[in-house]
Amino acid sequence: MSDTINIEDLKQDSKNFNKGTYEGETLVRKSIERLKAGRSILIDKDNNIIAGNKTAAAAGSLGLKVKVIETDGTELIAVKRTDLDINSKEGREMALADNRTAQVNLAWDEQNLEEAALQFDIDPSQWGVNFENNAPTAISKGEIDVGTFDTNQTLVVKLTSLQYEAVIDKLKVVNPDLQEALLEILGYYA
Amino acid sequence: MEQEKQIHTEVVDIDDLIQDDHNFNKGTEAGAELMDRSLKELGAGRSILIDKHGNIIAGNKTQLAAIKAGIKKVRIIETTGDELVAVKRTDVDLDSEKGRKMALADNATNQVNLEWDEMELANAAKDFDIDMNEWDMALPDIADPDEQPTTEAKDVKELKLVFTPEQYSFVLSALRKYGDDFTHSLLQILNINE
Repeated sequence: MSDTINIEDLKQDSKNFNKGTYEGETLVRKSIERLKAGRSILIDKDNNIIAGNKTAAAAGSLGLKVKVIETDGTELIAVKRTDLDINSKEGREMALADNRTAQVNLAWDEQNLEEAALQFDIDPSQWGVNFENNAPTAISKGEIDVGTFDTNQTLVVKLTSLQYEAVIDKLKVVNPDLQEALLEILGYYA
Repeated sequence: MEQEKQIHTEVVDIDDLIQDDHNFNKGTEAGAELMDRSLKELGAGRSILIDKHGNIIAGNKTQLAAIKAGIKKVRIIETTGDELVAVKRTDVDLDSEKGRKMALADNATNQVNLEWDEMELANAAKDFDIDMNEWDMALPDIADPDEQPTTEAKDVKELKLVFTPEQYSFVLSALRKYGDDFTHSLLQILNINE
């Protein structure tokens, strides 16, 4: 069965495990504006959004409607973009955007996850997710050995040798920890 | 192929969909295990995305896991992207063990199963003129496979700074105020001549 409804008819998850990020929100919006909608979101029987809350929010702000496809999960659904060829700039950017937005837009909500784990007897570590020292990381525990997964992200800036030395000198004056130095200079702690 | 009436859908064999042999995501062993578990325990969740020829744009790993989980059919929903598709699991309540596990699995598998293929990224950037900066992908050290090392290139050093996701977002936003070239931005901010 298929039905088209307004985005407002879908309900955002008030206990979302993902807080999202500013950068991720920007990329999701850019992706929809430039490439239009990609793979689906996931909702439950009462139109509560299970996965894709941020996508729905961005799509809603851009005026998209929602085509609802009912299923019991025994078949896979494929959204077919009849206007796209993967071997084109738009096709490749769509593949890139799908991976990149998911990566950048994830910031675990530890409290929501812990509450759900307690209420429904879910062990997040069996899904590769654990929290240590209040820092969200996906760490080996339980049945799945995922090794150590680092959610941190690395900024890489290419410089000439002279520029590199100058940058290091400037940062060290502020703080011997270069990451902290740049954050202080940019006003992160202001 | 079975045609369903009134709606633009068709059902095909899962093997009919074509894997992307230039996938940007190599995937991980742990991610594959999570995906296998998710599909076997919870059934299919979000859709995958294919192009007009049946090539998988997003969800290559999901197709493989679905096959392992015994899923044989794929329902195709045609669109030009002007509307968002929502897969509605009529058997699931978000506020249940299954619903919450699906929410967890969606985020966790995305996180654990991503390992960029930098060579494929570099090739696509070159072949399709994709500006990786626009997707915040200026960061990886992507080698141009056709580019020979030059004397000038040997003088290039990389400054690598590791941040939490929130810090990283903040830093990128701050750098971008000075332009998309982060080298230029950083030098401007630190008042260093280029």
